[in-house]
Amino acid sequence: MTTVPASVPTVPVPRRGVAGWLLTTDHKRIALLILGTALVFFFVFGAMALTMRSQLALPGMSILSPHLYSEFFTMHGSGMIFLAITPFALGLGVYLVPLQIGSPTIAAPRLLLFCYYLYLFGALGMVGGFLTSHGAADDGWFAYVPLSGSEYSPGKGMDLWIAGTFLAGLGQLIIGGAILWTVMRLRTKGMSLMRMPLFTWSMVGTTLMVIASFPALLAAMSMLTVARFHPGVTASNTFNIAYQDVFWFYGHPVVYVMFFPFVGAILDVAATFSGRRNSGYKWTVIALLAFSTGSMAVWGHHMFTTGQIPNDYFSVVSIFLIVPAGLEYFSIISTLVGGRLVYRTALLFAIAFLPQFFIGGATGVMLASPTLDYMLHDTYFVVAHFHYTLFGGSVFGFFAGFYYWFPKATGRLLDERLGKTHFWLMVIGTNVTFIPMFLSGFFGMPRRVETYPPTAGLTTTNLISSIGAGILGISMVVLAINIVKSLHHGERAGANPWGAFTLEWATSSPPPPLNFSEPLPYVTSPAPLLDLRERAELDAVEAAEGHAHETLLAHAAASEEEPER
Amino acid sequence: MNFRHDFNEVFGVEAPIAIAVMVIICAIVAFTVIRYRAGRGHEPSKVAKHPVAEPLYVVALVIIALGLSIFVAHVNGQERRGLGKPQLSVRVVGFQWCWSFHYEHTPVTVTGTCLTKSQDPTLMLPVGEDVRIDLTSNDVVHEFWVPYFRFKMEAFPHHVNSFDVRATHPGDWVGRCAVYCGIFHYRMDFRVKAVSASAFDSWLRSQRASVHSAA
Ligand SMILES: [Cu+2]
Ligand SMILES: [Cu+2]
Repeated sequence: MTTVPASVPTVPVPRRGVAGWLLTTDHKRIALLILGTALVFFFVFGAMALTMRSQLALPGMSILSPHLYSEFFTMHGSGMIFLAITPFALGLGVYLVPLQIGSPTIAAPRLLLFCYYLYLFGALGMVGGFLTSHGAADDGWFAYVPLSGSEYSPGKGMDLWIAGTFLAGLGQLIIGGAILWTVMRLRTKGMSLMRMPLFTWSMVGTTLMVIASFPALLAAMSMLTVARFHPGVTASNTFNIAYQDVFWFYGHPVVYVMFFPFVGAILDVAATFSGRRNSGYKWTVIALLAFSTGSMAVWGHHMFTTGQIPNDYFSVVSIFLIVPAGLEYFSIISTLVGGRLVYRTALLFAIAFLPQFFIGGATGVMLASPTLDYMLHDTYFVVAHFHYTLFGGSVFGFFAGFYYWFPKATGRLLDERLGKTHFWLMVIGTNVTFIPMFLSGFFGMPRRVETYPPTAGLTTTNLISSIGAGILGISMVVLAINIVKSLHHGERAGANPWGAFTLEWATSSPPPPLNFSEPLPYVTSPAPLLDLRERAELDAVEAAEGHAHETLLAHAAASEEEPER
Repeated sequence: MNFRHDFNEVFGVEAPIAIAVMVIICAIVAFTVIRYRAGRGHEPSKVAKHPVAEPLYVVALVIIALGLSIFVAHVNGQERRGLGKPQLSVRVVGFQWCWSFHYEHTPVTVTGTCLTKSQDPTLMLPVGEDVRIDLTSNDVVHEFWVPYFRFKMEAFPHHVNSFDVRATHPGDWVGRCAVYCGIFHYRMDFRVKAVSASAFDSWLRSQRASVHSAA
């Protein structure tokens, strides 16, 4: 099925300088704008987490006032989710999907640029709350009503947060649509759906969830707007509980939006550094699609303790998500088993993902059991759980992809020694920070408390967590040094530094404005470059064998009768 | 409705399974990392499909999910069947930023300011008796959490959530608000004190008396 239009769209000569970036319609540049902005926010909101961890290191400390502490945890949570990790996920898709499916462009590039600005200005609005007299939003990332209504949170920071979240969410919704449209319409010759690389498949699952769930975020922000103008609506329990339902209808799928693309990255990284095709391709695709479908039906597991949700239903459906999750695990592990593993930094991040994400997943199953959730909900156990999924899982997956595709986007390799230092510091930091949090929660520490009394028995676990956070802070400094150094002095990458198999490696690094300067091969599998390599090997063998065969035939003909036909 | 018992029952099943699978995954990863390192000079496998193992694995996953969810739903169902007709009901109200405990059908209400530890209000309970809690809020959403009971429930304005608790032996435990409810959320602690039925009765009588003498 050929889906590339016969006449390739002509793009104007790229502008130079700053305008060449800010007005670009090249999907790669738009993606780098998204990823670069998200990386800056990742550092900013990470620094807020470090400040909070400093305050919690010992009981009774007050580095931040109670009010500022609330602003920090609200902006850390909502910022990481809306402005850092979701944009990481979608930005990778904007950069890589057209390249992986052999398309010269992305669908709707101008709209995509507009969406970048929706995201950017939404983000500036959210953060801009710090400049208002009441400070930034301070009601937590899920901003339950009535607390977030104007009666209890009168500041302008909350208004800015709502408007900013709406704009950023709208931008991300349309970006998701553009990526899916690209996959559906712009695949190169021979690339049927079942020949797409698994990263691209993971983006299909991601964008389906974006399209199905992000409208609920816009609806939730609209409900908050009503509650800001007419706080009287929160005098109705129906409104308050409906807000929770609508918010989590977005809030659960977005967890997988922030997870799928990084699993996709890990699947690609695993294949490349094992030197073999992905094992269990078909089941992985089925798992991704089943997972995205299932993700829409489990939001109530965030509401077991509301007493206003059918707990059994949401518990059973949530537990069943271990089936697709288990399949994805199988795919990654069985690709590694039997491979020829080359331990570059990207593969190390992919391997560390396996046990770490399992901790997040297994504790997730526990939280999907209402009897356990009654104890652990809204405590540091939950904080530890989702940081194992989002940080120990997704961010590790992101860095696997980051080290893997950085040379494609910049033309230079990241430094391996600094990369491995970054990796080991992150592994140590992650586990030292988040393992003790499970215990803090179990010992009775609710989330979002700005301090705790010395008598609460929480001092040891919190001190260890804060030390771990410090190690994570150092690891991020190493990352920043690596990026700056490698951008200027990194080893030149060439088209395919890893010997990878997918089409983004069949063009120069960085790729030209229309992605491919030479015609692409007809795609025959999810690993087209490996196909080419194997065919070339086969041809060489055949040529040699054919030669031997001919001499044999001549010999036979000379001694006996005609050979059989 | 013995939440502590049910928590231990489910945790006692799920935690060992989780740890066992974790050990298996770590073992496979460690084996793979050592056995298949490129330094050994082998060629990567060309097999990309396992037509027997893959469907079997799916079936195994479905069976595990089925078993776990039936077990979890079963324990959860036990909890709801336990909702009886207790003699004593307490209306618990969360507000910014403390709690009040009103003993229904009596004039007794206990409250405090929560601003200092000594002024945390105490919820008195008789040992060995089911007590109905009718939970609500005066302003924003709060969450009534007693870690010792292994239970928490959100308190909504304009809505009452009811559940039963039972203290099986005398004790004095901490309770706190678990959901963020404004800047003094972190101070919204209370205490739960369980005393013998006779001690409870005399306490309630003395409280009644002090209400009447005040009136
Ligand atoms: Cu969820
Ligand atoms: Cu609270």
